[in-house]
Amino acid sequence: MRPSDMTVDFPLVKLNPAGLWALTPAVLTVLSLSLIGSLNIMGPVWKRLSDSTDRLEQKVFFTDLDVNKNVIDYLVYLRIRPEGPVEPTKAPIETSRKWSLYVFSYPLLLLFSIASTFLADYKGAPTSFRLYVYGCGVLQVLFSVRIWYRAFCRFLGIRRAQTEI
Amino acid sequence: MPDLRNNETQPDSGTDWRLFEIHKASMEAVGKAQGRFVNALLS
Repeated sequence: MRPSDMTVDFPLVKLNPAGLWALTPAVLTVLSLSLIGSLNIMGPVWKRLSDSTDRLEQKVFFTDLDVNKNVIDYLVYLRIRPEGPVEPTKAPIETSRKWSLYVFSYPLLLLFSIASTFLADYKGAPTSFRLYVYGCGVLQVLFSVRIWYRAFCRFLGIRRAQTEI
Repeated sequence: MPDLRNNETQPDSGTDWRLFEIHKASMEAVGKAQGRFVNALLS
């Protein structure tokens, strides 16, 4: 996206979009890779916690233990149907995410970041800038493949032994 | 206190609860970090 001449005033600094768009690929890449790392590490962390509750013969739901919910966690709990139990009457089984579009919530956020990164490119941009933009984009794509692959497996209910811990 | 690194030792209930607290704290830390990354990406 070719930067315009408009400037953005913050309390202490004045930035123009050229500066913002130049920073966008690097910032999005660092944040995306950090998010991907946190999604990856949540697997073993949840597995160990789940094993602990099994040993204690306690039945807990994911929502009991994931106390730090973010905006995506709340968005996936939006419901249109007015009736239904206040809470599930029994713990959801692992296949409950089959055919659920919610499994794509985090992958879509990563896709949004990748698209924004590539949008930093513009017609007539210097080669060094393009290398930087596409380098950042490719890094994000590379590490997002695992997240997308596992989301598709959950959606289709396949290859659980290979993708679910 | 049993050696937790020894798989042949059966931990007692108190140890299980201690391990549960450790794993829960670990999950809370990851969840908190994840929330920050999501908010930063969306803002």
